[in-house]
Amino acid sequence: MPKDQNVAALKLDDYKYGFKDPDSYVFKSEKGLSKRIVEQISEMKEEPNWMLKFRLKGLEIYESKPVPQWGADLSQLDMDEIYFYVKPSEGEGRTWDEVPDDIKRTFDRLGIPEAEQKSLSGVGAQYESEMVYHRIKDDLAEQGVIFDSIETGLKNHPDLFKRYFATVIPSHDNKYAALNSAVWSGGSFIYVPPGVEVDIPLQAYFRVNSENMGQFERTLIIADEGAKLHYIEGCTAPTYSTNSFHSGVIEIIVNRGASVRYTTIQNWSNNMYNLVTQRARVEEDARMAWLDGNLGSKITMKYPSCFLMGRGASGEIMSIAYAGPGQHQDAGGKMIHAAPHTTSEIISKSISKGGGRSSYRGLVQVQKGAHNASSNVECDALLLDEEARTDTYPYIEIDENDASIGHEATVTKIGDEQLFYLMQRGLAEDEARTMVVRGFIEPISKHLPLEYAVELNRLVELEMEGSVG
Amino acid sequence: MSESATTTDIGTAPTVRGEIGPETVTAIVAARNEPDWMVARRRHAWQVYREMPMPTTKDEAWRYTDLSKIDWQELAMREPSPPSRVSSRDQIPAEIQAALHFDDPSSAWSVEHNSASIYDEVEEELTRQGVVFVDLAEAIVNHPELVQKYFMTSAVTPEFGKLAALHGAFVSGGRVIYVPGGVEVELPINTFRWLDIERTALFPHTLVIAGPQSKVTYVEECASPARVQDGLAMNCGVTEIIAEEGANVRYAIVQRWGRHVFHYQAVRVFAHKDAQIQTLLVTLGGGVARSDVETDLQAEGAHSEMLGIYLGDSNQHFDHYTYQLHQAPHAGSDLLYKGALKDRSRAVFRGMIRVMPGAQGTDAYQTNRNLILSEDAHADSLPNLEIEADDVRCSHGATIGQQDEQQIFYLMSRGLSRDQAEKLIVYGFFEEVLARVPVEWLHKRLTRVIERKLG
Repeated sequence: MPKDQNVAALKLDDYKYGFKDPDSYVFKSEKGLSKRIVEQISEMKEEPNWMLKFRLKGLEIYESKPVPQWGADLSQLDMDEIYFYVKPSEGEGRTWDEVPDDIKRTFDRLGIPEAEQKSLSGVGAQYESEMVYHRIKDDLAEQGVIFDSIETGLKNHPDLFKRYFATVIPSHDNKYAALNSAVWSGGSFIYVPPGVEVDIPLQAYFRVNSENMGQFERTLIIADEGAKLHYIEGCTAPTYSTNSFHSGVIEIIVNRGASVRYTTIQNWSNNMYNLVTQRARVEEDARMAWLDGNLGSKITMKYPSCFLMGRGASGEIMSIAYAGPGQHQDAGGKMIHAAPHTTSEIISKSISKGGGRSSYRGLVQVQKGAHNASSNVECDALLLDEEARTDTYPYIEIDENDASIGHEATVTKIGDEQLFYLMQRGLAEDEARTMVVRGFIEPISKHLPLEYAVELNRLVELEMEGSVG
Repeated sequence: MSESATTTDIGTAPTVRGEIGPETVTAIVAARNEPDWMVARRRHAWQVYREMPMPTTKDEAWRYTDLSKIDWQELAMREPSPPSRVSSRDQIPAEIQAALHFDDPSSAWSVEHNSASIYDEVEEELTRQGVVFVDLAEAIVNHPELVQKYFMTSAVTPEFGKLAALHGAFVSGGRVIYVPGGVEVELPINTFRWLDIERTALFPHTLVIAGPQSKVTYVEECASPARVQDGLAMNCGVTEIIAEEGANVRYAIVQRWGRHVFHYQAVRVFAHKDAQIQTLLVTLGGGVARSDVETDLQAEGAHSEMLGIYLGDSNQHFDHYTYQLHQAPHAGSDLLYKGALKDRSRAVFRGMIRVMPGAQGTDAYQTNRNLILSEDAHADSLPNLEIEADDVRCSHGATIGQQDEQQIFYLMSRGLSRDQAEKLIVYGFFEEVLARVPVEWLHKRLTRVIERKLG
């Protein structure tokens, strides 16, 4: 490894996305949550009546469910301090020129338009509560691929929307899915017609700018029979001393023989509560792959799931988490085998440091009638110092006798032998440590698109800074 | 039920079914004529019981076992008039004699009938060395210093849980074993527990105190006659093992109660520096059986091996909850629980390795393997880790699967019937655990018991 380059990387600033812009909005709700705000959101979006009803029902369910006590500590999250809806601009741009200058500058700084040119099939950009930009390459649009904001999806494709919306994650699924059902705003609506393969990824980028912001994106993806899609989401926010809140709901329908890969690189600032529900319904011979990278946020609770509903369906979850000082990453995944000959794999890698805590929480369930299911789970945790903490909470529930189910987990630190070996080969101790960590996450990072793999490695180097001694 | 009931004249108090109340504690106290300190222990445990909510399936620890299905109204909370004691082996009731195995090489025996001690024998050599092996009532009178110091004070306190608190209030018998420092008891000490009543709850207690550098093996076997089938009975037992510095303790509990028994057992090991402990839980009987097995590694160099075997059939429900608590550096724990499930039986394994801050150099392992032998059997496995020290080696693994058709095919090609081949695979499956049991006769007898249960 070129030594100078590595050392230079270590000198980079801390969280580089923590910059903030002056608040800019055309509407901002009052603080806290109320029926009035839910009605306002629905009215401003000019929604059909069924959606307003759906939202109000969601609010009711949200209020009836207790705050979950089984996971991360949510006691410091005060909903009365959160702004549930902030509309940054009028309308959504189809070109970057249509996006207000200050907001465009933000996305320029985040490198989004540049990435769009170089390596993406389409981009959606959300600022506060609304998508400010959505565009897909013309050739895909010509093949019938729909890539819109969720609001545009509801307006322009009401039948398709209504057929699938909230079918994978009903409002009563959990408290925060109910909350999202009440106040959702922004997110993507994607439809890939039968047989169409979107080989180059689509990307959505979520940016929170103002203080005490709550962002509730809602995404609905339908991959029709034999279709193929890779979707990437990224997210960042400025660092504030107060709490911010992000609670998305992502529903994916993977129809027969289709294949969807969904990649998340979550790099929220360290004052963000990130409580997300992501779930895919996977039909016959279809394949769903989640790659879930949780690097930022104060607290994340997020368990991407595959409901393997059709014979021969398969699911994969690769989860990578980094928990530094003050962070708790409670991540993992769920695999529900509801049909015969379904297969699943979960690989989880976590790194904890400086009092950070990373937890794997997962469920593998084989339901009655799901003959010949097989599932394998591997969880590896790396602890970088003695203040770090890691937990593993797997649930395995098996109702068929011909299932083949395995779960393995290990917890390690960087071995003295490993360091000794690498240092003998001429590496400095910090370089050696960085290399061990890279090797540890490599089974997952190699599945990332190149820019993201580079970014992940850069983050690892950054976080390893000062870890020697 | 009110506190004023504590003044009831217990001499005439009838046994009221389902009476989980202060008057029951009072009645037990009076009937047993226990010293004040023991009465205070019971009353404290009762208080803890009263303040603790009954666990429900909404509590993570009891998610898969529903206590509300127990009809407490069915159960008398204290034993009927105790069976009479006998002074020689041949006076033991024939039915019990036939069920136990005096031939197994041992250094002491006790026989309990519905949690009352009816017979015991101890080799003279042990008594000479100062080894104590007595029932709890006798220990309270003759070895109060042991009971006062250790009974539900460190390994299992009433705060351990609702059922442990109930046990503390209503404890109805059991054994106290004390091995003085430096004494090595070569042959196992055995207790045979016979339960042939219905509609009653029994609360046997096991307290093992192994002095520094001592060595002891203790085997408990729980059995019922096949004739008792109907009314619910409950065994709510607590085992406390205190292993002082450098002590070597092996403990096995072989549970093959009748199907009418709801079995609860808390086993908790309190390990001092360099103590070496092995526990083995064999779960075969009972309708619903729940065991909480914990190791508390208090000091450096302690090591706990935790073994378990369960074999379920018909609609048996087994729930094992294990906990490996590493509080000190350079301690080790190694858990292996294996279960096979026939018919409509169900097993839950829930394990936790907890490494506290500062417990550097911990080696902790946890493995749970399940063999599903029927289409309607069900297994849940939840092997958990909570690690707060970095210089550790921890891993866990769980598998749930069926018999390997290739293995069956291989054995059949060697002339075995399918049935024989399947059984052989189950023996082989359990052998991995049994091979780690150092008592040869126990190993052999467990193999026979498993054979019988497989049919």
